[in-house]
Amino acid sequence: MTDVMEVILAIIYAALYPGGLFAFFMGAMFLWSYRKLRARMQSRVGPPWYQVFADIVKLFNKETIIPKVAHRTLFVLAPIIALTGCVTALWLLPIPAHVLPTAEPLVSPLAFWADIIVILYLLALIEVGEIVAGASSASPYGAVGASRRVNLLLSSELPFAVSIVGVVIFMKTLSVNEMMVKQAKEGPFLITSVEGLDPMLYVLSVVFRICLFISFLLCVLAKMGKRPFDIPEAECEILAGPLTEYSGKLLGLFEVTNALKWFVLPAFTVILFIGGDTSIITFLIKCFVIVLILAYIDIINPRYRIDQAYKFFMKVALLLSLVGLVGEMLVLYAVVGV
Amino acid sequence: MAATIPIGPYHVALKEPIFLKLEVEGERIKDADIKLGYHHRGIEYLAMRRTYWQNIFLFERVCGICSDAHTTCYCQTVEDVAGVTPPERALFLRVLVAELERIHSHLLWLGVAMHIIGFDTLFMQIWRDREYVQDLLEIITGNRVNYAYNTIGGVRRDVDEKTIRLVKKYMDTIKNAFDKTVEAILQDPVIEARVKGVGVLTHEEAKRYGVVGPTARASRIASDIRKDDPYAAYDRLDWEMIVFDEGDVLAKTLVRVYEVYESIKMVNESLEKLPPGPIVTEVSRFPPGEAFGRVEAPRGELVYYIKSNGTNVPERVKVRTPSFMNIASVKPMLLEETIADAPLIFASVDPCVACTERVIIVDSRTNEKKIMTFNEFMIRYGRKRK
Repeated sequence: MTDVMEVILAIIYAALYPGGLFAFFMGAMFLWSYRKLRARMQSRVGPPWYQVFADIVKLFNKETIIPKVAHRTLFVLAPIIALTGCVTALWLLPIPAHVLPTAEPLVSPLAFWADIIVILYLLALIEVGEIVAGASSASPYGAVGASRRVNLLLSSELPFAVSIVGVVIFMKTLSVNEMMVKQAKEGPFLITSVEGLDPMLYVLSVVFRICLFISFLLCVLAKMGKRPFDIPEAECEILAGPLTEYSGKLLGLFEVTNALKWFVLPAFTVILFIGGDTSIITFLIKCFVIVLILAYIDIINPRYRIDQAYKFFMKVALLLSLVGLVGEMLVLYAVVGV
Repeated sequence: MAATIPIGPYHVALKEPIFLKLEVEGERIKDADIKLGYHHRGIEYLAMRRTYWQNIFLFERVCGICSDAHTTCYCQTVEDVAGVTPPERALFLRVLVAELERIHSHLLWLGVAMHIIGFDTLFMQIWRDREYVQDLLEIITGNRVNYAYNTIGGVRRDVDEKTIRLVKKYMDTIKNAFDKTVEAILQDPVIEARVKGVGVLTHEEAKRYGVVGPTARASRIASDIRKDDPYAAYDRLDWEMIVFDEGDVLAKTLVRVYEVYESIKMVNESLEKLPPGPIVTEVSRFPPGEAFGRVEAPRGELVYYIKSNGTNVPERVKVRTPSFMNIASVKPMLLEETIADAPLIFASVDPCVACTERVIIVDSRTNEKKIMTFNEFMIRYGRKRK
């Protein structure tokens, strides 16, 4: 009996809440709020709230055209790879289940002791999907878009990973779930203190953590494909980049992935840096704040060239995350005195 | 490995059909080929079939953005043929509309340039401010785009006190809004990274290609028809020619930015100095003869040549648009740059393809290309015989 219950719960977890429908709806809402905010700040009207759903429904009703010269298998597989990466990463995230704060957070059925490494790879898989899409479509725009995506992935992945390592070292755990529990007890990572830390060192340590946070956000911008790092989709140069040749249901799958991405990446950011929620409401508010930050950066920036973006990640983002990581370790060393 | 990236004939970054073939290695451009010919309309041929009065309507439609420059140039040249001088008031009104058009054209270009480097917010804001100019043009001339303002011997509509006050008020609004835009353009580090040192057209290359207008002025060529060969009332106004040395996209942007300020100044000044009197001189006959007229369109020197045979239909009208001179200069700018910069560099000369189209004959056996006017083309290949 308990086995059956567990299976049913797992299915609900995967399909309805928090994976699947709920995440998709919230992602679509975040995406819409970004688009609306962008429109209002540009003196435009902006789309209605159901625009994302309308787009996806329309795409799924349209004919899917696969170019004759494209590599058929990979062309079809690419959106599935991206969606798989996104959904699986979502299933690993500990998203609060209760409306009111409670003691016990929801544990993902898939969670295990080192899932943050898996999440790191799964998030990269979304971009791999796009790279495969661009490379297999046999379009020059797709090829250039894919090559730019590879460049961006290579440059942003390192500071992204280093920032995560910074969080992991401080939390002393590789499990996202445990991080959430720990933050629920001790306060969000960004401002939490360690026992025996004097105030000066505490301020210094918060500055280092903010360095990690900024570097992480920059990488999230690159992963979302937002300005100033929307280079793979620069429509003035290479049309839609990797997605140029896509249409119909396959493009619809990419759109679903995109909507999910708008929930997964802000949620991941919240869980790592300002997490510790046991109530879904405060969690969503925090996610929304992250969305607003990302949207704001996107709105006030033009687009870098790919070589400039590469240099930016190597010079600024990587430096920030390394400073954060090393500083954090030194502070911890001073306290623990190993 | 070299690959070919096609940009156009239909492409998001290009508002008009033109074909840029880029030979690239990775992202670096090794060779560029620019092909025109997707938009030929045979305007010059049509002009030889219509009366002088009907041609005003026709040349209004050569280009949607600089329609006033085209009719000003056409009307001036015809006035030269007919030997009439428009009244003073008409000359000042021509300056007024021409400068408003320059502001709108430069703002339009600036918006497009911002869109190309991905700064959509500034693009939207610049175009929002441009609407004030469009409103003014509509109030003064009656139309937003093809103004139908010039006529042979003067202009078609007068301005009253109320309009003058409104123009001055709007000019202040535009200036204030534009100040903020310029601040954003000059201070943004990402914009600087994208436009500084990109697409350089050296002074020598610029001379060799014979570029005109803002493209030339960004490459240290002090050429502006409004100063060199003043027409309308430009010699009676106080303004400065903007010249930059660098020749990169930033210089081309700044030339246009500061020209907007000069134009705002000129609009205000032309309204202050506006003399009373009639706005049009009667023209009744067109004696045989020929004339050559030029004006400074927003994109550079615009040249009209008209030959009259004494009838009311011109024997020959030749148009040389500024983009015709500027488009070729894109090639030296593109070499060794990246694909990401190609649309921006191409846009930096503010190409107006509709104005520029010529018939190109390609002999596939010898691979010889020849550019001819539509008339020659018709004589050689069409129904018209000598």
